[in-house]
Amino acid sequence: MMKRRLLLKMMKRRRRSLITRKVKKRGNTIYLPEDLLVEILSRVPETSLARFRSTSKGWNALIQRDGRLAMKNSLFVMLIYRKLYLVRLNLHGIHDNNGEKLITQFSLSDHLSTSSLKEVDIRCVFHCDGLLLCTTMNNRLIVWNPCSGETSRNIIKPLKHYIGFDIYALGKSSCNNEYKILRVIYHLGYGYWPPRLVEYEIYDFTSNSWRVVGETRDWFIPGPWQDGTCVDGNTYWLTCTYSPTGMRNAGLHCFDYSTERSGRVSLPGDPLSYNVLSISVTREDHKLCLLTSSRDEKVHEIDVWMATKIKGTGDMSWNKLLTVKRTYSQQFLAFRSGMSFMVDRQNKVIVHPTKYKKSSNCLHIVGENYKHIKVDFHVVGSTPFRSTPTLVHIQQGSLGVATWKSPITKYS
Amino acid sequence: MENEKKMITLKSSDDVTFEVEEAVVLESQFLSHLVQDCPAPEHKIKEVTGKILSKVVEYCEKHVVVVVDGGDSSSSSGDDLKKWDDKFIKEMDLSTVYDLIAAANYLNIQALLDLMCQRVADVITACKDHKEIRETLGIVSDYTAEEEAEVLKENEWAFD
Repeated sequence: MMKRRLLLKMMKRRRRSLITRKVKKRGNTIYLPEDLLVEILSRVPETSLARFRSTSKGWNALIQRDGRLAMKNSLFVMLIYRKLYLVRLNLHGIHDNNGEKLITQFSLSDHLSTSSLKEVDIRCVFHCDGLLLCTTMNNRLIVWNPCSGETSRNIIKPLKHYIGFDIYALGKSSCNNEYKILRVIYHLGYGYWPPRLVEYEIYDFTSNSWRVVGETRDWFIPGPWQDGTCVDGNTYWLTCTYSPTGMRNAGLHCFDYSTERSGRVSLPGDPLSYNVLSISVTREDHKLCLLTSSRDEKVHEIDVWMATKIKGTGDMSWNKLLTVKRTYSQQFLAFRSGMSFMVDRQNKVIVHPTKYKKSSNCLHIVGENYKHIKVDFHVVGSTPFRSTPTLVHIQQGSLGVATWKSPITKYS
Repeated sequence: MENEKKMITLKSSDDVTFEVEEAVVLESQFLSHLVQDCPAPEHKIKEVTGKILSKVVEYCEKHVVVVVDGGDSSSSSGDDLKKWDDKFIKEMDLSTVYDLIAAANYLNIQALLDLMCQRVADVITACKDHKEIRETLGIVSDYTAEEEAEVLKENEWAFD
């Protein structure tokens, strides 16, 4: 049982305190077997783990040598032509073209449908805190935990049935850690003007019911930006806002699941100086990221920004993480409004799914130094597809933190 | 009506004894095998001290009671249990937490092991840089100045 042991000197610093401790601490050197240290470290986010590497040689060696820690946060879900694929991608070797990949197809069967064996086609997938919300082609909403295979058992039926045009998101209230589904309904009206009416409704797993929580005419979510991004349980969307002069500008909105209100969030610098492309998160610590391109046609650059929440105000401060330069004209055809992507801070790359030639789906990895590595998915290449795949990163380690009160069932 | 509950005595490495109900012992995979295989009234656990065993017993007693009372349908008992767990870990210093990790691993009590490992992970996550981690966990650096500069540069992205 007791395996290799790593000696860790847990020297308790003598504190110069006026209060003397009555209870004398037991020995200050601690032994824990290596597998238990890994057990602890596997629960630490990758950012903290990277900081930890600078503490001592022993810890650095342990973190580098253990495969379970290296493969941490490498789980992605890809939606390719209405089917879901679980992709485990090791990005640590990508600069040497050694990025490993492992793909499993998931068939999500709908146990509520009359033909229970029928595999479900997925329309959209949304991620929050390790759980996926899938909207299906037969107009159902299924919440799914890809790591355990559990799915929601209740029939989650919206108040009105316009599922094809609606926008859905999964979020978590920060006050009681409960998951909720948000439905954003927008009424198409006549043309682009006058402003469209946007309504939002919340589904509560405890009561298994929907209720209307608000409406607005100040902004709407245009087609390419309908896939929201989840950060700390809240959903962010790029939006179109109306200025007093009637101009439509790009904006950023956040829906907070504890207050059940949406609010505007600032964009970096002068938003008129760039084109807003898309938002996503960093792979390591799930921080909000924004992709922008210059409005100056001579500057062929894509900027990646990362947001940090300012304490107290709830607003964001933005830092530029990475700038990718264009080397030839066709290179950034895949960089479009609403594109699905992921930022890897450690390797300084953007990972995004793309189409390559006629038959295959690729993960394109774009770095600072014009590195373009294609990770080809031959396994799924044979299926015909029309749209570019969606890439969703699964944040592991957070599973089980939130309350899941709805009855769940294991799918086989 | 109810049969008298079967009691089992656990003895720590330093000969502190704890009399507990059988249901409490069953929380531990290791002990439930031990009790089944060898039906003695008293079991000596050589690997665990009295101080730590008292914590283990306290945890198992709390968890076994809640499951029996509330059943798995009651969610409020789940919330109460979480609050109790939070209080339980907050009162402990880190060296006790390490001892409990080793004990939970030895006695094979997965929920306690998860709780304690998460506690240490949370402490590490709360540190803003390597110096704070060193201070909190009492790690002595064995890096030379050059080596430290190199590893810091490699992990630069993680320091905001």
